[in-house]
Amino acid sequence: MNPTFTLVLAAIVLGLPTAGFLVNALTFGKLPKAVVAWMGPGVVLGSFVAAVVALVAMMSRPPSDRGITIVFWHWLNASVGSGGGVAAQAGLNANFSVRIDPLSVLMMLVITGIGGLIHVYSVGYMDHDRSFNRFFAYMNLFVTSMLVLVMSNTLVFLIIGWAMVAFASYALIAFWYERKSAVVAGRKAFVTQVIGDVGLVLAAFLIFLNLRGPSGRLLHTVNMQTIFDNVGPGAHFHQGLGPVGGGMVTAIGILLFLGAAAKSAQWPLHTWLPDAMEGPTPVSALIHAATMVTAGVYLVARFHPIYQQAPIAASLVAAIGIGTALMAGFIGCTQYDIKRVIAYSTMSQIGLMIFAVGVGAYSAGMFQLVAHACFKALLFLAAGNVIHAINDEQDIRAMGGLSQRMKWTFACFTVGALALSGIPFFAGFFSKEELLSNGLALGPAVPWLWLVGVTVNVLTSFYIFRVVWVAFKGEPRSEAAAHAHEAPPVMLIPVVVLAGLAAVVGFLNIDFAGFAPVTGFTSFLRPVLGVPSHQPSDLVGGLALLAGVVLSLGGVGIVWAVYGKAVISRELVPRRLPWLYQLSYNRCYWDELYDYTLVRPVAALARGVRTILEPDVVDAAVAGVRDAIATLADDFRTFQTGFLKDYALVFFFFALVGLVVLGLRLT
Amino acid sequence: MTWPILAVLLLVPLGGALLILGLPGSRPRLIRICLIAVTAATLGLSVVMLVYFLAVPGSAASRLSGRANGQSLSQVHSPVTFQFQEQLSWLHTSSSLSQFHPAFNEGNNAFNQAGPPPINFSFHLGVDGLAVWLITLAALLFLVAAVVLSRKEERLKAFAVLMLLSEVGVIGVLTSLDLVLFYFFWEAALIPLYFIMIGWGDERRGRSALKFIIYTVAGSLFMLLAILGVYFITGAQTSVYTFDVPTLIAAQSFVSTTHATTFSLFGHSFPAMNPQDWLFLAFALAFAIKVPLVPFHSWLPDAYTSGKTPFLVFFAGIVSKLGAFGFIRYNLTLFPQASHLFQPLMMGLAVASILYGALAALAQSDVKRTVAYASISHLGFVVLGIFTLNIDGIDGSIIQMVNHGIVIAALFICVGIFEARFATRSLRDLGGLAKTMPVMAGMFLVVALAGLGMPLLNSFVGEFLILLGAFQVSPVWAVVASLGVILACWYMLRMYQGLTQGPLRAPGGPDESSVIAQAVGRFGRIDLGPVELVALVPLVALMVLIGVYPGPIIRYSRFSAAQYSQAVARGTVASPAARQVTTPADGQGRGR
Repeated sequence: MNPTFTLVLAAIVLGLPTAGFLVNALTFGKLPKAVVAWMGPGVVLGSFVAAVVALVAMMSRPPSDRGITIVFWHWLNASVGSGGGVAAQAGLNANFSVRIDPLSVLMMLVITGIGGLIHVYSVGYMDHDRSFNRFFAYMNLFVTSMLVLVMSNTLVFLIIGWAMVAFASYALIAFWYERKSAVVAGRKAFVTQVIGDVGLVLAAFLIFLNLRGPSGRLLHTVNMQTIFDNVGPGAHFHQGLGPVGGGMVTAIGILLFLGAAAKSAQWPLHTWLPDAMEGPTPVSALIHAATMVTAGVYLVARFHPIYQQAPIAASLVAAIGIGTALMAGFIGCTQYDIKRVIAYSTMSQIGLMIFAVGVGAYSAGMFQLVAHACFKALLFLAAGNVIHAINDEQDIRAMGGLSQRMKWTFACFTVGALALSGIPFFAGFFSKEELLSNGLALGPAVPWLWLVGVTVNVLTSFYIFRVVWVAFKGEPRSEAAAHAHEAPPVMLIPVVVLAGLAAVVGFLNIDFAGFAPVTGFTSFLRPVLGVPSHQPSDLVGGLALLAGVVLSLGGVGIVWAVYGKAVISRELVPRRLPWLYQLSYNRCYWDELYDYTLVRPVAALARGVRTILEPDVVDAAVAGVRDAIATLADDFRTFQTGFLKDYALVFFFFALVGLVVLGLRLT
Repeated sequence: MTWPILAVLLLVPLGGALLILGLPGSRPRLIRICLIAVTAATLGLSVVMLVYFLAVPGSAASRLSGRANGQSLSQVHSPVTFQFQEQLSWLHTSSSLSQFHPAFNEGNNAFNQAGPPPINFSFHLGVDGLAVWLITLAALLFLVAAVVLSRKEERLKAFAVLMLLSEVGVIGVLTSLDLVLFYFFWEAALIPLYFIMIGWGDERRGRSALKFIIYTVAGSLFMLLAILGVYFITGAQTSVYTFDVPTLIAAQSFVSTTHATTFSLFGHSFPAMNPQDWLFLAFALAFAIKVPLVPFHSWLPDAYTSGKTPFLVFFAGIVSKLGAFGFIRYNLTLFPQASHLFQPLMMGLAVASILYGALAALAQSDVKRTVAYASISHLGFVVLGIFTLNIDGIDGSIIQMVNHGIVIAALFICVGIFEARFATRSLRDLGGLAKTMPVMAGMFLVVALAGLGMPLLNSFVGEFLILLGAFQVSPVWAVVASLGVILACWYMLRMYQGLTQGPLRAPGGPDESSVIAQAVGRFGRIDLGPVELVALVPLVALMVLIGVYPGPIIRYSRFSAAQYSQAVARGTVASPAARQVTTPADGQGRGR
């Protein structure tokens, strides 16, 4: 690739959304709405075009030559050259440099492509909002931040992008800031993200301070390519980050995952995501489906050289991923807020991706990421159409019968549901099939992890078709639902495009052997992610596929039996297993647990500092010293009688003492 | 640089103070214009100084020494290099400059006869990569304060004069290279500050001012004793009786700091603290009060809450940095070994300040108090960085001092803006104001984000380097300190969201128009006015600029950070050369 050409492309990809944000922010909402309506989506779609050009340019190169690093500017260099009596010392040297390779281009395409569609949709969705400009300012800022995150080639700028994304998501979640719940949800999301940031920063410190080159010399680098080159296979005790499975590399793997868990809403940092549904629906589609929450998957995939050296950390990642997938799917089955169901679905699906990248099926995880970005954005936007049509009502109990009045939206939502459930030939079918069969082949010797993964399929198809049935079928259960209208074209077209993508994107990874230049998804990412150590055999793959499909259809069947034909009573689980139902309905009580074990104690401690420590200890101690001095001064005041004879007496007394002391020393 | 820029930097605000003293108090507009002109001129001068400052002075020795004490520097190099040095002899009781240690002035013992130690101090100025930035910051903040200062302020003339006098004191502290001169400026800066505190502010200001002055004077007294201690002990051991800072720093390589003596208690023998350790503690106390570090902080919340915005801009912005400056300039260089001995103590206090300040900030409903405690927490990071004793931490601290000055000034301006309009600072009375004052909300957001260490805004750079430095000393301290980052996010958002988000809540509310009417009635406008914009925009711009491109600051600071870390590294193991000459008997015997 021509470096200058790539630099220009990368600058366009990053620069357009940045410019969109700056123009919007610096005009303080004074820009005419028509301009913003074109500029907001326009910059992101322009960025998408540049990303496509970058893709084409990259694909014209041989696979071994598809990575290029571009330095934009030298951000900070804390190394010291020798001179002036100071020895040269290598310090932190962080450039803003970007990496253009298949993985980052893929993420760029997802962010700007799906992001662009969501921007278009937002023009319709936010039409009546009085903060139209502010919305697009934050949306563009988010796209910029996310691009910085995935394009950065230095750890420091990865962290910067990571934190910028956190801020942008906070700003968008708390977008309707007059609502108390939105404000609180935004704060919760931000604080959780900062916890993740700290993990990432500490991981960066460990890498920076401990990475050794082939000669055993400390490298002191934050350049990600250099890091990956040096931690790779063959690193032993005095190279890279120490031996395979060593404490250092394991600690780094776990700390990195702390950041990933916060971003991707994985246990134990998952509780912010459902609350984040307080934001406008396009925000949920952009941030909580297609991009931000997948950053954790990207991070683990990007840092796979480290995870390959750290089997314990990788297994932990896989276990947490699969556990979160199960838990979120379980919770999703009983929620009534349409967006929260989809949010828990996201958490669950991301859990599967995290599982995949944890066991080493990196490209399978990334494939699920791409497919999920399409169908989950679709689901959110279609849900947004519904919410928009029935006066911002989100409770599925107040919907019903919408398939009659919103045919297009219904069709698209159903496509999304089919894709999510992994019904054959929709996107999710291919991605999950690959994910689960790879998981089975690669997974740790415990196939139960895989079994759990397949079980999630039942839950997935159950909760999403439950929404389809309750919200779209039957009779309208509210005045608004009875008078719902189909969404305007500006909101419908992106949904239809996404439905098309959700239907076909799965075919990307079918190896059209012999049909060059079309290549499968896996071989596209191979230059970055390498080849999985184990390929599933055809038998295993076939079995996994069969099991997955059967279980998915089983979930649909249950919904049909419960909500369609009412063969099984809806009250069955609530009545027979009330604890199970309550556990699911109350989101496994994680919020309550954190509230009582973390939030309240810290708040109580803070109050204690204010009401007890500050006045009664610190100030009291100061007052004590002051009073002591004052008392002392009072005591001494008695000497200051003002009579000469008293002073003379004191003088003679001390003179005598002095003489005695002097005399004693002389003898 | 052929003209004494540092002396001019001192003289301009001093002259300005005299000028304003001569103006009639009945013409506030004129006074304010003069004040702004003088502070702007000072800022201009400090920018000139920055331009001529060399990032790595080693390559151009001609600019380095100037009229410095050539004899001494040619033989003993101070590990810290100073530029733009100016030296005027002030008081010498000994005409000779040959009181150097025999080890580097062999055969010149004729002058080292018994007798009263010579007194030797001079008007010696100079700056390094640490001081240049703080001077520039000081000049900037005094200008911002002058802009913020309202023409309608009562006794404007007195305020302006006192403000310029404190600027002289602050710049003096930052430029002086003589301990006596330093102490003079250190105390001189207090006097105008005290009078401003007692003369302007809320009704509790008298008590606050008294608390502040007692605290700082108590700290200063110990420091005065310690300055004399440094003078005599260094003199006794190396025969160099001087208050000259570069010479003293150089001489510390030859000062004995071995814990030779022990004391026994209940049959056990303990290493006794040697005099260096006591001197370290005396200096540290003065600086810890000034910063302040927990538990020496209790003057700060009161002082900050009572003060007026223009005062707080420079008081919180720069005066608190003088303590941190002192730690780097004096504690690290004059007591390298004690710095290592007390490193755990100082890092512990710093981390305690970070967490304590953050927790206290979290519980306040008065936003001004929130900012005050946030300041304690942020300065904890600065001190943490200093006592990592490594280049990353010290460099981070230097940057963070500048950043904190910018951020805290902006925060106090923001809080002042709310107070001016609504006559309350309580989170219980205010909320949802973004709707009525969108520009203010936008500015305040950037400031709050900078306060919580958002990347691409200034504080991130400093905090990142500080934590990196701390991590090298002790990962555990770094992890505990990073809890402060999480808490910072919490209390900053609590304050920002409390004021600007949620349902509208303000005097006159919840009706939007009556809130606006009341605020306009009280202040004249609801959203930012031109003066407030002029004050805030440069600060916000600097936050973004430093965050996006911190390169220039680091270019100047990192060299000094390296020198300071090298100076303090002398305390780990005495170098062989130093070992040879530093037995106490040797120093004592030849000196007397």
